[in-house]
Amino acid sequence: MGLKNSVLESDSFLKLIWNRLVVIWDSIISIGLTPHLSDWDRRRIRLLDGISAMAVLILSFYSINYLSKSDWVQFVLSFQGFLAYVTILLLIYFRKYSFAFHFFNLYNISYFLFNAITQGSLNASEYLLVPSSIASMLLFRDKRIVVFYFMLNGLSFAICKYSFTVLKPIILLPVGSGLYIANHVTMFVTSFLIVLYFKSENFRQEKLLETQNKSLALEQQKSENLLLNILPRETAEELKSTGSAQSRQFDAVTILFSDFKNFTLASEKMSPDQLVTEIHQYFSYFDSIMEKFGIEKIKTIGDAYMCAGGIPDENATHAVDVVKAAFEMQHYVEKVKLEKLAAGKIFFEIRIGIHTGPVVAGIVGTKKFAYDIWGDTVNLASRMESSGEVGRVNISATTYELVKDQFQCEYRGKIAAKNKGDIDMYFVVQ
Amino acid sequence: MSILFQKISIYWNLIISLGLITSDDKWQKRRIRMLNGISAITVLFLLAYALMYKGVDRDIVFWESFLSAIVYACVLFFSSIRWHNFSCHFFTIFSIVFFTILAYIHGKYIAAEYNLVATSISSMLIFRNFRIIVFYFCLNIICFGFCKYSFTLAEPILYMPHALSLYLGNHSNMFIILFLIVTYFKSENLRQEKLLEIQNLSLADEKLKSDHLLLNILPVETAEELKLTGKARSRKFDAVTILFSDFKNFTLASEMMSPEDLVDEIHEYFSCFDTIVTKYGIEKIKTIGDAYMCVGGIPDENSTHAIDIVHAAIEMQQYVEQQKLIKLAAGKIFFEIRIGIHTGPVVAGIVGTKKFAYDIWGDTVNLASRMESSGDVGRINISASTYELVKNTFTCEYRGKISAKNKGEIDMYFVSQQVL
Repeated sequence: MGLKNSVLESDSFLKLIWNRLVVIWDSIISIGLTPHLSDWDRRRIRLLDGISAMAVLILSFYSINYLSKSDWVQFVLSFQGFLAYVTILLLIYFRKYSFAFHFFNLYNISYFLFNAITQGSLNASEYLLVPSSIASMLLFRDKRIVVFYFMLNGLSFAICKYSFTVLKPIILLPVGSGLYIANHVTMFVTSFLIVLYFKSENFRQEKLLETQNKSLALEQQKSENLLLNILPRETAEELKSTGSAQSRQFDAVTILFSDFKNFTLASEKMSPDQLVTEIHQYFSYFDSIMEKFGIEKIKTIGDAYMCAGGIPDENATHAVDVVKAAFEMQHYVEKVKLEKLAAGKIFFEIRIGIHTGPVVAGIVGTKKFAYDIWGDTVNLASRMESSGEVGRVNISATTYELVKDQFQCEYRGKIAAKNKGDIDMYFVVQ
Repeated sequence: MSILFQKISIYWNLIISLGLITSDDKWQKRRIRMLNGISAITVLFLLAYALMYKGVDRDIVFWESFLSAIVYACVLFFSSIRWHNFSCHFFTIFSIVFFTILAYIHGKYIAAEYNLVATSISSMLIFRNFRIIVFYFCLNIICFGFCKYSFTLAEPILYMPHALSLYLGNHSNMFIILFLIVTYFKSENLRQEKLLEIQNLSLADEKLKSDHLLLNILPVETAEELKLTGKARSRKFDAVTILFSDFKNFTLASEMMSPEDLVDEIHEYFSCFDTIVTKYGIEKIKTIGDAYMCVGGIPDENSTHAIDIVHAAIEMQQYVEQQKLIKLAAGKIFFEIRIGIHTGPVVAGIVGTKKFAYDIWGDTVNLASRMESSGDVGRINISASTYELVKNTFTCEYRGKISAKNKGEIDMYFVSQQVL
């Protein structure tokens, strides 16, 4: 038990140290970062911070090592490198970014070049130009700068190699210094780390963008769906792009009005909440009927339901569609009536009136956009409803002409409608 | 010249897209393009070497280059039959083995081991699994170390008389391949990010437009509720003030004007009414033909709803009056409106599943409508319940008990508009 505990403790202790290190490292590679930086700048600054910090670490280790061995030449070489990388970190800290980037590249190239020429091929310092060339590719985005530094690295490398064939080393390497191996390992490891860091940053960024993309698309879809529930697509697009929508004349649309008969009566016996729930149930069903027949619901006015066939896309079947829908509405109301009667509840009945004629369709005002229709046809359709009878579908002569081949109709004669004089009306026989 | 360039770029595109289909994910496309690109370039390089060294030195370089060119061509073949994973591993392992053997046989003079630097970077970019990346990286380093170590042990098995040019060639290979793969990878990433950023911006823009339009139509909370759950719960309000307005001579005008002109006319009036109700924080409910309906005190309750509505009613009458004078002067048809206002409880919400519209129900709505029909043109007719709430702010004129359809006799007041 005790053993287990101590293991756990040492485990959490290691974790603590590791976490600390991560935090410290993160604060080092965040040197000079400010919130307004672009993502690309953020990435390249972190990369430069990271490389410079590692170089500072390695060179301080070298400096101490040579100092302890009293190898003054190597000490000076390492220590000035140490100072140079500290300078780069300071430059970034003081936000001289561009200067820091160029200084880093130029310094590296000249440092490796100098080492290689003065110390000869056994130092292998020229191979450090490989990670240096990769770093310059990832630190700059301007193609000309990238190519320039790449060429400079390549050229310096060639100069080093050439110098080995014509010059003798000026500074002799300390025996068994292992610099040849160390520089080769550094080449591999640094290249690996630079590319790995860059790759992981890119992936992180892409993942982030993709996640954003998905959630944005989802949000947009939701908003759009809701919008298209309310407005016809073309009207919504027009409103979005111009802020207003052109109204349009339609020569023949069929308008349906329905009204509950004993609604006012019921409204005295039921709470408003119950009543709204009741209306919701009926209207939801009516909505599904309209969807089935491709009829455009216009609006509800209290307990009245208004819809129109033949808008916003013209078609030849609008009158037949609307009459079919009217029958389904009456069927549904009848069905619910029987259920309510059986349960001893208040039941509802509806009158339906239908009329066909020209309208203007569009949007008026600047608030609460709603696709609506205007014209005398609307008034007459409303009169057809009020002149109808419960459980029946009352249609005008113009609608009759369009549906007489498909439905049997019963002529009611000329009937007086408010403000409209006497007009021909027909009941559709089911 | 540009035609030639285009031809070449088409061929090049064909080669690097070997074995890719449109449904492949982005990462697969990127890594296979890179793999195909490196392999194709390597094949070209090796064939060039093979040709250059044909017939010299017992054809060692020729055979080495030629045979390995065939192997790299196999990578392209594996890609084309969509053995993508295999092709990536095959490429990496063969490269490591090939360069190690070259270095071991020919010694340090041709610097073949430096190609392992490029291989180590390329394996990092064609694999995503971290363990695989580390494995190949270590393998590269070990092989590199092995090569270097082997140089200290013995002289090369096969001397290359042209070692210097190969030495230079391998070093420049390393640099060039590194440059190409890193540049390619970087540009692909940037392109991808740019694309995603543009997509995000346009999506956000689209959403903003949709939402903007949506909030014109529905109250914020209702819109959010509908988006989230697909329906919105209705809510009871104890005291809201409802305004109805109706044009007097509209039916008359509709016989003298074209429907389009009439709709334009309504649009003009209703747009101005919309501005007025927005100014007073009143919720427009809907228009029914030439009737305008709005309500104060929803969706957010407040204590000034009655006063706000009366203020708005006065401004509406003023606007209509002003228009009337202009039209009279121009000899055109003019309009006049009746306004009726009533305060009481309502249920507010949404019914049905299509054409969502924020609406209110209750007897208060009917009574407000009666107030309008029992009113007078140019006047604002308010009920007793509204009167109680505004009497300290506005001077009102008691009209007595007036009969309203289905509602019996009710107290009505006209608001005196002069006192403001």
